[in-house]
Amino acid sequence: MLARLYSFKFIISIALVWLGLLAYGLAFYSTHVYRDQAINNQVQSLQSILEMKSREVIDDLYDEQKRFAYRLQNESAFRQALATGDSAAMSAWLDQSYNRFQESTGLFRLRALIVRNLDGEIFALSSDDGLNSYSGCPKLLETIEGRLVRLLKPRYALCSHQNNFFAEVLIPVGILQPQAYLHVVGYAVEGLTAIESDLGMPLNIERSDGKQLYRSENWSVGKQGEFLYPAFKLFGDDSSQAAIITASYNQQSFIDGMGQTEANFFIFTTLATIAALVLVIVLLNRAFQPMSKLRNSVGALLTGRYASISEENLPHELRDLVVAYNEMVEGLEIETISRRQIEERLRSEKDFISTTLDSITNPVLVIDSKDRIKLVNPSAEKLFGDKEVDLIDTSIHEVLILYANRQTTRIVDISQLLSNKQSMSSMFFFDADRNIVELEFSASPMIDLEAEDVGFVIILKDVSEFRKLRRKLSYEGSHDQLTGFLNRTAFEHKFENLVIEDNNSISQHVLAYLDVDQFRIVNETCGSTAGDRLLKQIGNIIKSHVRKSDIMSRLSGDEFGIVMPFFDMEPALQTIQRIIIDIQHHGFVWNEKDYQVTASIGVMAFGRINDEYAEYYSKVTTACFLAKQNGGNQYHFIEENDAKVMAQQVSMDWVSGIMKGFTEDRFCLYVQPIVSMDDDITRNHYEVLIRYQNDDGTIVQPNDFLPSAERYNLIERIDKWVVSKVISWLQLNSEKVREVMFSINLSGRSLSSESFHKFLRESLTDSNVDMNSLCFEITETAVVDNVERSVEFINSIKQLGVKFSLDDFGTGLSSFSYLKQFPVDYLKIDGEFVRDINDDDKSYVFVRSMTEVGHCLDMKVIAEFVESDTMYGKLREANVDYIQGYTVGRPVSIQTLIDGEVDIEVVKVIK
Amino acid sequence: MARIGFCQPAFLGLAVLVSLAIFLCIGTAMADSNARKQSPENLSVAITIDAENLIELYQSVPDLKIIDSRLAEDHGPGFIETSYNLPLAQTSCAALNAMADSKDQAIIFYCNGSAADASIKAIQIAAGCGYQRLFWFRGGFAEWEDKDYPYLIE
Repeated sequence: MLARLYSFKFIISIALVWLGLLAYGLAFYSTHVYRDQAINNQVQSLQSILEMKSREVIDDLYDEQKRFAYRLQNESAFRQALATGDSAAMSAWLDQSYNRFQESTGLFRLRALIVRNLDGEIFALSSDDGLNSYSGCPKLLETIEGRLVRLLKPRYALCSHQNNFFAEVLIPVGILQPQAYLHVVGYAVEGLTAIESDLGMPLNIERSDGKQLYRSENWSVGKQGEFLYPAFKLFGDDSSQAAIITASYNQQSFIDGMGQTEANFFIFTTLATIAALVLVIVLLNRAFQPMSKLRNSVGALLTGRYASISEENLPHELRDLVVAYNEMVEGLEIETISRRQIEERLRSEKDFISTTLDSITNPVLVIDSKDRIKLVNPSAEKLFGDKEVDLIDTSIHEVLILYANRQTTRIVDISQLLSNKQSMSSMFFFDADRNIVELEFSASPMIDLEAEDVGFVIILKDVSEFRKLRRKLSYEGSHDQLTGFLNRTAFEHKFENLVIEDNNSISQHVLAYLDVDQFRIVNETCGSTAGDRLLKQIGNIIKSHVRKSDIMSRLSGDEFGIVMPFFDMEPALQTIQRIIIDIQHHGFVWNEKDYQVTASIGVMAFGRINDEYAEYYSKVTTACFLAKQNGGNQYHFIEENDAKVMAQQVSMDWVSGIMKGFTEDRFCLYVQPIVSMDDDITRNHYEVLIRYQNDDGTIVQPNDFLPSAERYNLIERIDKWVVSKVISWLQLNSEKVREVMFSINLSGRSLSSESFHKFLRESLTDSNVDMNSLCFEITETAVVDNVERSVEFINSIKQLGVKFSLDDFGTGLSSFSYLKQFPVDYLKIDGEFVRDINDDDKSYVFVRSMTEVGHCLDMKVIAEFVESDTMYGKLREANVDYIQGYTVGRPVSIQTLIDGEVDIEVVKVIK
Repeated sequence: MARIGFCQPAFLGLAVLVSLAIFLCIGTAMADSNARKQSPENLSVAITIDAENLIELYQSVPDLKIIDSRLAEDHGPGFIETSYNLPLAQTSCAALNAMADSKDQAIIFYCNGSAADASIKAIQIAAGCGYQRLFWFRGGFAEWEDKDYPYLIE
């Protein structure tokens, strides 16, 4: 990296200078560190010498004082004065001794001599000055004053007082029989000055409070760093003040010496670096000389001069390189000549190939293994509307865009097509102007000498026109074979074309949807051949009534779609009506049997509002459904905001509501009492009703959602839910309420469902609920729909001990003979009859006769919709057993049964 | 395992080490016998005491005698208070008798210290004279001075 930017010589020189600097820096740093260390050591050793000397001096001082005292004690004058207690004589003698000491010794000086009695009080003292204010070190005197235990050994103390620093010794007189103490007070500083001559350094002694005690005459204070001041702090025994002994030491010569060493080292490293630099440059120059010769020669190669280099006078490291270079130059010369010939030949071949390619009329593409276009011929350029220059190196996926669906495009997976390695059938693509073209696609892989895929040659063929023609001829693609009408796709296409073409006009078209009412019956009873015949006939009927220009289609099965373009509603409806009548009159004969055939038709106008086909289709099928609901054999015309269609769509909405009811537990149970006319009530009888709870908490009546449930096959699920809910409620609350009987409504669909039958049996047998508390209500119409099956169902369930009730009796208009077959326990007269009982005698007669018939068949009779007291009276007259209605109790939530409110209400009304 | 021959370096090294150890042991033993010329710990005729015992005895035994068996020139620069200087050369029954007429007299002998034997000999003489209560201050003046007890100087 670095070597690429700078020359080798430069890098080595920089490195050498850097090394020299580093060496000097290291030396500089280490001498400084050494000097600091040395000075530090010197100070420390001087300090310890000072300490040692000081202690030695003090010890000497003590010793001197002590020995002087021992000598004094041995003198008879002292003994005599002590023995006689003559303090004056003692004082005189002490004076004399003091003077004697001062004369005899040079080093120390005494301050005072004191004799104390055993309690420490002064007995006699030498007449020295100042003793009035100083009677000895307090610390020392503490050891004898008022003590019972006498001192046996001398005591020593250093004490500071006023401007002085004293060394004192307290010696017991008469070691074996203490009689007194001899107290010697000496000047300590005088002795310490002796250190000065011992060390040969000026000395300064001061107290820690700053008081100067001594200073040498030649005491010197120099520049910072010139002098060292080792110091020792001699603490007094009373710990009040200390004497600080400081020596001054001139270290200038040492520092000068260090500086000299540094300067020498700098000169040495500089010289050494320069010498190394010179050496390196000379050596490198010698080494690189042949290299630069080689470089110049290589430079000449570029200009076409093939010159070899002399191999003589070369260092042997380079000789091999030069030999190899010379061989290369020779080889190059030969190569160049043959290459020129080959290039010439290639150029002429390429010209030939491209001329060939250009003259092919089909679009030809060559792509490499990464799907990039490498070559196109003029025909391909025309197809893609781009020049070759722009196409080269673009991906084929960007150029060939597959037209896959009506409005959606997707990128064609070319590689997948290519992997088939065979000619493909045609596909739709967009051309340069985004027209849809149909291309036949043929690709063959190109393989090089190493047998690797290097790309593909793709030959395209525009087959659009050809296919278009063929499709026109194809009839089967768009027509229903049976009726010859359009099929669903073609019909949709036509419909959409009509809407698109007629976008801005105000003209109106009619869409009709026809469904054969009994087609399933015919198909199932007579077989599909008959079904097909029927469809064909109906097709013919339709064809005979509509205009030639109208578009007809069999959408699927028995469903027909008719579009009548540019037609008013009135004539259109007439046409529709005629079709219906004709179909009804025509009927259907099969195997000499007549079948009643009718059709239901939904009709609507379109064109004014530009809607999607799917929207129209959904509306028109709904209309057809409504026509069928109304009994078939009729049409339902959708007007704007058609309420029935709206309601139908609301009922579709209910489907999701009901599903939500299951998942979110929105259903709840209500009960309405059924009250006995007799007073002996053994059980409270209730009809169980279902309610739905909205998001906002409002309760929805079953009339709103049960028809939807019925229509969309959800009613069986609701029935199951109610049954399980009631059973679990009874299991939970049987102890909390009085004996009850719940009547549960079952739908006709559940009645005929095998799975419901199984579910009900299992639920009842698995539960431990009292079977007497359950009754199932089934409508008369549901039973009449399939008598045999219903009776079977009732009998099977009744075995378990539950009761059955026939609901809405009277509406199914079944004959009484049928009634005999129904093994039910209760008969509930339809509310229609009960409601009119007051005003209409026929209703009254009807109710009475039905009650009688019921009693004849051992059934109890219930009247519902009882809303007034007069109705109550009439019903009693008609001998009805039970009544149900607002006058005896409104529906309430099943949960209120536990609270007992219903019971109270019922009793009140009866009274 | 390699056989160890006489000429191998390991053997020679071992021999040098062993001879060195023997030489050192002999050397230290001889040095010991020269330096340790110590007086015995106890004497059969006297009770050995130290400085503190001496002070105690002096305070509890009335009329206790302390005899300094050293030469006079040793006695002068420092001696225990109340002690008589009776150098060994002058020690005899008569000299002792002049100080203590009773053989029951308690007497303490001391000299320079444990390295000197003047006091031992003096005690033996005293015992020979029939003194019964003899005490030997074995540490002598050296111990006294070391312990920094006061003394007198002539």
